[in-house]
Amino acid sequence: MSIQSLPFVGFCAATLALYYLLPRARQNLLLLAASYLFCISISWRFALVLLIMTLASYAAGLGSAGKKRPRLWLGLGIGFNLAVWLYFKSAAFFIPQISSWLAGMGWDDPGRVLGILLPVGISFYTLQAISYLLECYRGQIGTPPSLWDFALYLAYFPKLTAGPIERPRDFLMQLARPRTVDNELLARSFYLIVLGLVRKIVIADTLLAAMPARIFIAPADYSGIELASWLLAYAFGLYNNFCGYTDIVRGISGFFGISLSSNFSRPFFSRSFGELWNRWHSSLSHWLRDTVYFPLSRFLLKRDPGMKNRANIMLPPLAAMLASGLWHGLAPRYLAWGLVMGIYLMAENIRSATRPARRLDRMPRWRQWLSTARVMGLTLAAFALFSMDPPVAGRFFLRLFSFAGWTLPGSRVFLVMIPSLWIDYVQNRHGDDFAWLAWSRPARAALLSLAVLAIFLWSQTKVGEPFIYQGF
Amino acid sequence: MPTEKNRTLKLERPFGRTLILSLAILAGLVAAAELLLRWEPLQSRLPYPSFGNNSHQLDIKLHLLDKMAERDGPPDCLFLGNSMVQAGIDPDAFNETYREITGHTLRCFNFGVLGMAPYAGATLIRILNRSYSPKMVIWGISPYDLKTDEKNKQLALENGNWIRFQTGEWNFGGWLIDASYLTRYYLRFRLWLDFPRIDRVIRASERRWSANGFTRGRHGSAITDPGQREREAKNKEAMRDFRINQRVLSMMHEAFQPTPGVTCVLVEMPIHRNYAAENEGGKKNYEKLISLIHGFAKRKNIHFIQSDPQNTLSDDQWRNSLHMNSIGALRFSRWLGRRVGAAVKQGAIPAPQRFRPRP
Repeated sequence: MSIQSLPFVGFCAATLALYYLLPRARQNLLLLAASYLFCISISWRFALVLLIMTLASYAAGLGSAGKKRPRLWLGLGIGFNLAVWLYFKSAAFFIPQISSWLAGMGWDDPGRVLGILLPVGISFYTLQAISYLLECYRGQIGTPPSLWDFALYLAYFPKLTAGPIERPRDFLMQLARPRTVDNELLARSFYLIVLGLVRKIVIADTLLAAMPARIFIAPADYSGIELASWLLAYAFGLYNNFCGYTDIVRGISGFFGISLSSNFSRPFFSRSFGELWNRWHSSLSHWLRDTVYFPLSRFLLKRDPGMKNRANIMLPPLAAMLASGLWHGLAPRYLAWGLVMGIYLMAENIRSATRPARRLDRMPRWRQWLSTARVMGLTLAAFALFSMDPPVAGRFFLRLFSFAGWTLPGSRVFLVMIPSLWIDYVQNRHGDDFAWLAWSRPARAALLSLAVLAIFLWSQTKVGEPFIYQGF
Repeated sequence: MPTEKNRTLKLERPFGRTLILSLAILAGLVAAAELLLRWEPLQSRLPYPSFGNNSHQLDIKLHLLDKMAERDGPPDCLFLGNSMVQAGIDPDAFNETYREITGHTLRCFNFGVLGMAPYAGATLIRILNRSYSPKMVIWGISPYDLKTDEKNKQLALENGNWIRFQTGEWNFGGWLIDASYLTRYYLRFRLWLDFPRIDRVIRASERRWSANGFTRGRHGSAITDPGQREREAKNKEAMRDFRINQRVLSMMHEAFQPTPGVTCVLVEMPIHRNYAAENEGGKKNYEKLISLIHGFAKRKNIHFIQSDPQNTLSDDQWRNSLHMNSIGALRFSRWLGRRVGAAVKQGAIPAPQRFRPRP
């Protein structure tokens, strides 16, 4: 059941109707049951993996928050979660290779025997389970939650498949207190869903579907301008795909009165890499900051508290971005991408350690735009690494800068980017995701009609592109 | 049930006003778009609308025929068939010789569509008769159409909503396409989304299309071009192993129903002698196929005109073994006009009713 399918709409509507009818005390249980039902609709095996990880993490959480060997419980809990995640993640990486090797030896259909699928959302709920264990250990969660609430924290169906990665405190606090859905929240949630569908169906699907199948396989077949244009299209496609997904699930969750993190905040307007990572998949960035960057930095500062501690300047961003690459997948391309992103952040850290810090918004406008262009250009280069293996990426860059050929992709690639830029521009200008809600009623209604019309026109084409981050 | 105090959903009236307003705007937009798209000056600036068939050529033909009927009145005569008809029969040249023989002029439209299966022609006769009531349909079939070839995928029409609607099977989608220009342009937009290059393909072929549906074939001949000889040799070889596609034949029998008031003439579309005459197997196959088509025409009581390409067309009048070039088409169309005219004059086929006196 994809979140972009009619059965899912029916499922949400039924859950919502029951949710509003039930007294508050039962609502969390209903959401838990609905979340597991949703997971089972994809595969009962995935639900089993989720259940096992939930029980193990809850037990380890109780131990970590207790007084007897909390460190051991913490280690066991994190170790267990990481081991399960690594098992499935590495299976996804190695099984096709082992499978082809066995097939080469004459084994009949080894893929069927070795068929291990990456449980949906495991990369997301593993991180949340680790966050929970750490918060228990640090005593940041006062009273341990009930098993049901904790299970719901990991399994909550709007965020199960691709996040956002919620901080345990914030989410569990919302589960503990009464929730109200009023006119404003309903309007905001509806608005988010419409915006998410526009991003996903109108922008992302069009861009990703238009991409030539071999652009990241045989870059030599394309001109430098084509490669640059498609790379830009890929970045916009990926952004709108994931941001659209996040908006939709935030909207759905809003109907239940539960707020989820925004994850994206106009990343292509970033003026530095630090800012970029606060704007792009920020729930993962925050997790990496809380779990990798800050602990490592604290450890290094304990050894040398000076401002010019080189190790502290260089290692935490590198480690955090390498961890991010690893989280995306156990393939060289993700590690290369993480390494490059880490180097960008490291360079920024070195620069700010050697020169006096200056607030980005106090810089002249032209310098801000220049910084945005620099960050955008370098981020695109990293996207190239993200989307193909390093040797192909090498050929891609050689071709990109060879300036051979002047063929351009069709104009619609660029036309589709305009609504994305416009949405981001309006949100960025007002510093608010809901900037349109301040418009007059007729203007809002006209915009809504156009959005609905666009969604209808584009959604009828063919099977949409999948939500990319559901694959991680 | 939760008590008032305990309730999660707390809506205050009024609510949903923006939503209602946006629905009203949406309805207004749809109505305005429907009206705008019916406006001729705008239509001429837009790409051809689609009827949701799996052939953009069929869409274009339907659109051109619609425009012709609006401009000059419904056609007297339609030419149906595949690309051989499309590039092989020029309605103007046909009319010229027909008028010489009968003294009457016919308003003709070429409805040949690339890759159309022969039995689809039978379905089209019924559909086009509903909207345009032509008095005569000239249905072009070649022996090649009856060849067994898995790769030779022919355009079947029976799956489209609009086609099903037109053939009497009511369905909402078909009705909507039939009634609404907005739906047709929406389908065209979908085609553009799914096949981004469709515009380029259509624009390239459009240049050779006339308002009467005839597609002028390029000058020059692949038959006499040494660079194309290898390809032509392959075509020749294919004809040697010719087998009859029984499915196509039986579907032709099944699909064709005599339409009251419409005179149907079956015409053998010529293929180059490379296919038929030069090898013994090919010759035998050709004769067998012609007798099958002849038998079909006799059973269905259709007038059949067999072509004589050897005497009619020389090598430089073929674009390739299956298609005539513009000179060949001119010559063949004139020949056909004479044959049909003579048949009408002799009373072998009834004279179409919508004749107009010579201007």
